[in-house]
Formats: sequence, C-alpha cells, structure tokens
Amino acid sequence: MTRRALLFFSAGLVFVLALGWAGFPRLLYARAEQPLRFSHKTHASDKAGLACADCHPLAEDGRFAGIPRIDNCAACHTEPQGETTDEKRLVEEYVTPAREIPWLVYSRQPENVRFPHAIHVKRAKIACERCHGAHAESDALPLHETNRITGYSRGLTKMSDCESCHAEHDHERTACLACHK
Amino acid sequence: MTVTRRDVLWGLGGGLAGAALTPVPWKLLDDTAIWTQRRHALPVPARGPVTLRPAACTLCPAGCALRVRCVGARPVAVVGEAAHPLGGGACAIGLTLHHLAGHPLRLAGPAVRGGGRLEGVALGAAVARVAAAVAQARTDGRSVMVLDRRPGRVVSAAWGELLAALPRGLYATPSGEGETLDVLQRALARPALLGIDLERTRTLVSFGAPVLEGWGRPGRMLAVRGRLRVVQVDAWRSPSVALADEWVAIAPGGEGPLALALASVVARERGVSLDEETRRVLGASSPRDLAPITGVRPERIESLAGALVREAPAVAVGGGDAGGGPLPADAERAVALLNVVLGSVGREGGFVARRDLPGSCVPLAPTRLADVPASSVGVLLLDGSDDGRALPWPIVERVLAKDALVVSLAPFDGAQAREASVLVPGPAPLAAWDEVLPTPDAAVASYSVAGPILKAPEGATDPVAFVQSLAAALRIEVSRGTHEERLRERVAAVHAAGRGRLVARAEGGYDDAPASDANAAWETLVAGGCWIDEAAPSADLALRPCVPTGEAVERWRYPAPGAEGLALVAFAARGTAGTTPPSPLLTKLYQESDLRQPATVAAVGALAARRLGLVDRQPVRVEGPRGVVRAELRIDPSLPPDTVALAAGPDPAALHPGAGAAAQGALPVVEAASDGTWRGTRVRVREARA
Repeated sequence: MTRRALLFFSAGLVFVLALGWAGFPRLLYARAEQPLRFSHKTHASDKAGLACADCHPLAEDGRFAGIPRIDNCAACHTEPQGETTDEKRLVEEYVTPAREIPWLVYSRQPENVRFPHAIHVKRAKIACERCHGAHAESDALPLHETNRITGYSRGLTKMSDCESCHAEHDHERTACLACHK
Repeated sequence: MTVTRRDVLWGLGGGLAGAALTPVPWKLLDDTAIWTQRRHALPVPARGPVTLRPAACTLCPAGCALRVRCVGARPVAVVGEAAHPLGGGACAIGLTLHHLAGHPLRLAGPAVRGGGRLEGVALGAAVARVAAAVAQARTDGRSVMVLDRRPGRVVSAAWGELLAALPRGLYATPSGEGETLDVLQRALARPALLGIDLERTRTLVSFGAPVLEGWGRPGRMLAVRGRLRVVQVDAWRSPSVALADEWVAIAPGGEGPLALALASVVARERGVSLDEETRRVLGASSPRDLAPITGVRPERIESLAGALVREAPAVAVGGGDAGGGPLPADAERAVALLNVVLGSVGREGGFVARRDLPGSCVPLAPTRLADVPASSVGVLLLDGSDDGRALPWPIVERVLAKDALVVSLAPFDGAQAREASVLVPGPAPLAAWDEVLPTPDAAVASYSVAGPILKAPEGATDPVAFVQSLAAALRIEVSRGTHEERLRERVAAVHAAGRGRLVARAEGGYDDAPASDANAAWETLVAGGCWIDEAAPSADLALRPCVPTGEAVERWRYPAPGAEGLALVAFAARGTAGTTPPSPLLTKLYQESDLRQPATVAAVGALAARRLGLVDRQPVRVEGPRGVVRAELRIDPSLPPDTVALAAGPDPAALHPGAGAAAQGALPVVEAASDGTWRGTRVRVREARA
C-alpha cells in the first residue's frame, strides 16, 4: 500500500468511525426531556432522608409500585418546597389538579418480558443500584432516548445483563418462561 | 491534489473497515431482528387499575376458591385461595381458567352441525328445532334426557322442573368420585347422606381413586396429609402412587377382588358378626382364593389387612380415576364391604352422616346413566357443566334411539359436544353465575357462589334462560327467575336454615361473618365468602347387607383363561378429560415436557415391548374393539407385563387447535360395558407403518 493509498484508507476509516460512534447513536435514538426536572440527590439527601423504597415501594403481595404516582408527591409537595420553576410547575400543573406526571420510563420492559422486583430485591437482596446505577446521586434526570427501530428505551436492562448477573449468582439454568411471558 | 478513482476506492475500503469497528452493522442487525416478529399477533397486556376479584373454579366438583387478578376488566392471572377454610390452593388446570374464554374451541353462539360443519343459527331457531324433537320424542314414546355432570345446582333444578312436565323426562348423571359413598348410602337402613371424616382418619386405602392428585377437594387432602397414611392400590405407577406411603401394585381389574380378600381377613381378625349372605361371600374370598386375579401375594394381603385393623380408623374408597372411569359395580360393593367390616361406617374418622344443603333443589332423583335403558332416549340434552372426568361416547350412545337429537350446552366444541347436532353454548368459565356445592367426600355441607368476572359474548346463552326458552316453546310453565335470582333464593334458604357459619374473606385469611339477613349473606358469598354447615348429630347408620354378587365372586375366584392382547389402563388428571378443553397455553404439563404423559403416548412395560418387538419412541397403533389410535410408544418399567397405559385426556385437538390432530388417547378405543365402565378393555399394540 502506497502512502497516498494509506492516507485515503485512513481518512475513510476515521470518517466512518466518527460517524458510527458519534453520529449513528444520534440518528438511532430519539431524545426527549422529562416533563419536569427531578433531583434524586435532593430527595435521597440527609435533609429529605428518603430511601428508594419510600417512593418506589414493594407491596405486600410483591407487586412493585414503579414510578410514584402524584399522590406520593403530594404528600410533601402540596406547597412548593423551593423557588425553582419546576417546583412551581409541579404544584400548579400536577399536584393541585391531581394530574399524573407523564414521566418517560427508562426501564419499561417489552410486553413479552416480566421482571419481578420482589424476588430480586427481597430474596436475592440485590441493591437497587446494581441495575439502576447511582440514581440516588444524580441531580437531574438524563434525557430519555427511544430506539427508533425497536421502540425500546436505551436505558433498558438487556437480556445479556440478566444472563451475566444470573451466572454470577449461580442461576444460569433459569427457564425461558421465568422472564418471558 | 487530484482525487483519482483509486483514491476513492481506498477511502471506501477504509470506510468499510471502519464501519465494521463501529456499532452500526451489529446494532442494526440486532435491532432490525424485531421486524421478524409478527408484531400484530403479539398480545398486548392490558393497562389499567389492578384488582383482585373472588371466583371459584367450576371445572370439577372441587370448586376451589380463587382470586383473579384483573388489569382493568381483563383477568390476567388466577391464584388459589391458600387460606380457604375448606382447603386452599388450586391445580394447574384451574390456574389457567381465565384462558378459556378465548379458547379456540370456544363457541361464539348457537349452531347446528350438518355434514361435519357448524353453521351459526339464531337462538330461536335452535330452540325451535329442539322443541320439535322433544314433541316428536313424546309422540314416539321416547325419553327426553338431561345429562348433568354437576347435579344439585339451581340449573339442575331448572332442568328438573322442565323434565317433570314431560311424560318421559329423565334426569341422569354419570358415575363420579362418590361411588363408594353411593353404595353405602343405598345400603343404609334409613336414608342419610354420608361424608368422610377425613380430618380424623388414620389410614386411607384408595382403590384406584387419585386421592393425592385430584380427588374431593385437593386442598382438604393437603391439609390432612401430614397425619394420614395413604395406601394406593393401582395397576400402574400413577401420580397418587408416587405420593402415597405404600403402593399395592395389582393386576388391572384387581381392585374388587383385593378389597374382598382384605374384607375377609379384616372380618376374621376383628371377629365381626356377619349376616348369612356376607359370611358366605367372605368365606369364599380368602386371600389365597383371590390372590391370582389381584396379582398380590396372599401374605401381602394378610399383612395389609392387619395394618388396616391396627391403624384404625381406616377408610377405603373406590370411585376410580378421571380417565379410567368408575370401578365395576361389584368392585364398588367389595370396597363398601371392606368399610363395613372395618367398622368405618358411623364412627369418627370414618363415614359420618352429613346434612343436606338447605334449599337443595333436586326435584327429580337423578338416574344413573348406566341404569337408563338402551335405545330409549329420543332427545339428549347435554348440560354444559363439567366434572372433569372422561365419559366415552359409547357409554352415552348406548341409551340413544336411532335418529335421536343430541343438544349440547357446553361452551366448547369438544368432547361430547362434537356428537351434538344442535349447540347452544353457555357462557365460558368466569363469565357466568355459578355455585359450589360440597364434594361427595365432604363431612359437612358447604356452599359458595361465584359471580361473572368476564362479560359473556352476545351468543352465549345462560342455561337457565335456555330452559325457560325451551319450556316456552313447549308451552310448559316453569319458574321465571333468572340464574342470579334463583341463586339469591337459594342463599336466602341457606340463611333461613339458621345453622352453620358464614365466613368472609379478610386480610390474610377468612373470618366468621354472621349475616343479619339474606342480602348480607349474599353479599358475603359474592365477595368470596363461604357457608359451612355444622356437623350432623349422630344418626342411626345401620346397614343392610352390601356384598358383590355371587357371580362376580365366582368370576374372581376362577378367572377365565388369559384373554388376548393387553389390558388397557386408561387414566387422566381430573379436569383434562371432561367437557372443558384445557388451555392450549398449559404448555409445561403436556406439550413441552414429559411432566404428564400426554394422550399421544402409549406406555408398556419392558417385557411387553420386547414380546411385541417394539422399541422406545416408536410410532404404534393401539387397536381396540371400537377403534384405532396412533401413539408414540414409551417403555415404562413400572407397568405390569400385559398392560398398556394410555391417557384419556387432554384431547390433542384441544391442545393444538387447528393442527388437524387425529383422534388420540384412550377414549376412541375403549369398550363400554353394560354397567357404564370401560376398565375391561383389551387392545393390541402394533408397529405403525407410514
């Protein structure tokens, strides 16, 4: 390969690498902002003193509450708890009219999959951070990214994540229908 | 710099190499795989408020209490009520109850069958056709018969009212699990209802009844199992055998002789005073006399009888398997006699008197199907209720006159409904009012009501409404109340009796909930409560002699020389061989695994396979006196050498609807005996050639 050929080959390589790693994800995922700015850090701080399960509880029968409903927010936010625009909007647009906040859910599984939180949290005693990351330390919610082809959220737990964790915990032989409906 | 074509090609080459190092091709391959899914066919679970609603499983007489998880209006899961006072939990069949409204064999509305095809008709036209056939049967002097698999319901009363107004109305029921109780009840000097005081029984001997699999109320059996010794008498290693404390392996048909041989030893050991006839029968039925036909050594019979005497109170039950059908009448009499000599009738831990349900509505005494004269029925109305047990068509066909009209009210086009010319489907399970009566073995009466959770389709006809329509077409006066109104009347009668206790669902279990009036009792029952009677006061349970016929004893003592072929051991789990097809999504039990032997498999012992020159998993033909089915051979070392075990259900056509499955399983090959049993069937098993 001559020097000139190497130059054009490298240029093509670098261009496509840049396009593939930087441009492709922007093309593949539709980004959307959450309806409100929400700080997990503030809520989990010593001042508010909330644990994950205070807003995302597991019911007695094992059902997971998921994203808290507006009633949960209303328990503390009947009046604005600060002076930010989002706090004002929370009270005026959602808490007062008792309207649910249309949160975009990062972890909504496809319809053919079920994930029982109760077994993982109560029996296997897996910390929330193991799958959801250090959400409690984030000051703002990241953009919600939806895969334009599959329609799934980018933050979705992948089957490979489940498999590797199950392998770690000696549960490689979990049957298909344990997770797939 | 001039860019040449060669430069562009090098650039493209670099780009291609670079693309392989980016997520683009791999991610696109992964994500576009979703386009291979038939997305329009993927079920989309409902979203909405989650509620838990009470229900009852009506696929068999156990009537297990259920909680149905609904998302919005759609039931998405069923669980058994673990803490129910009559015995909690539910079987795998019951847990798929909510699938049945969408079963592919579900009928959408009235239809008539002609040339093997179903043609939808209006309800009025279907009723008119049935009414014309009833009028013709009256003219021809033939019977109009209703076959009810769950007698004693308000629907049964509606049938009774209609039949009472017809000159030859016949209300019939097939044999069920309570055969031993029936024999004992018929032998009582004073009529009384009997139940089994299972909570205080020490030993239970089951002659082929699936007592540890699906018999009586399974939750009750689970509750008492810890302190109950179970001896299972079976010709094959049935699920109850696998769970029992002791298995007495017998030759097929050996139940009656074994019970009689045991009775002779027990009578001797206990020094029971016997009437002349019983003494004569038992005198000719020593273990040595009957051991050859039972396939059990005389010493084993002696030791088992000794154990029954020592471990009293002991109870023996027959009744048979859901697929194998009832024991012959003489075998049931032998089992009843064993109970008599054990002193189990009228004692704690044995057979005790039970009071009837208040407001019981059986205006006509049910006739046993086996007692209906042959070729006497001009119109057969198959009630839509299910007992979960097999009923081979030849047993029913025997009573039909030539050109008889068969009408089915079952919600599905399966089992006997396939033989019907007119189909008026009732609502599917969970879509109709229904009631749960005590199981035959229950020591006290009980009652609960289940309301509809699903909306029935337009074409579904409530059985009470059908009876009223038919009565109107025949100009017969019957009560006007709807199904719900009749259930309310019955609850009012239960409440007015002023006995027993009402329990209501409460946090974590059930609590007593006395009702101030009939309306309050109704509300409690509809909300998942239950009425439980108190124990009956001690009653005179003196018995008349109850022994097998001399002819049967002779036959057992001197069996005919070896018959040709293999003895057919038919079996099925309760709920898989009745009128309701199981859910096609019950995949784990039958389609994907060998947890249960499906109706497509014929099992023989290793010796029989060798003698027949057959190998494991080979396609075979099972040839019976009335038909032939194809199956896959499996070698089961637990089977006696001259038997073949073949499931009577579930029907492969129900599990694989639309796949064009040919008739399979035991039912197409069984031979019906005159007493309504099919245990004596002998078949040939041959290699199936393509």
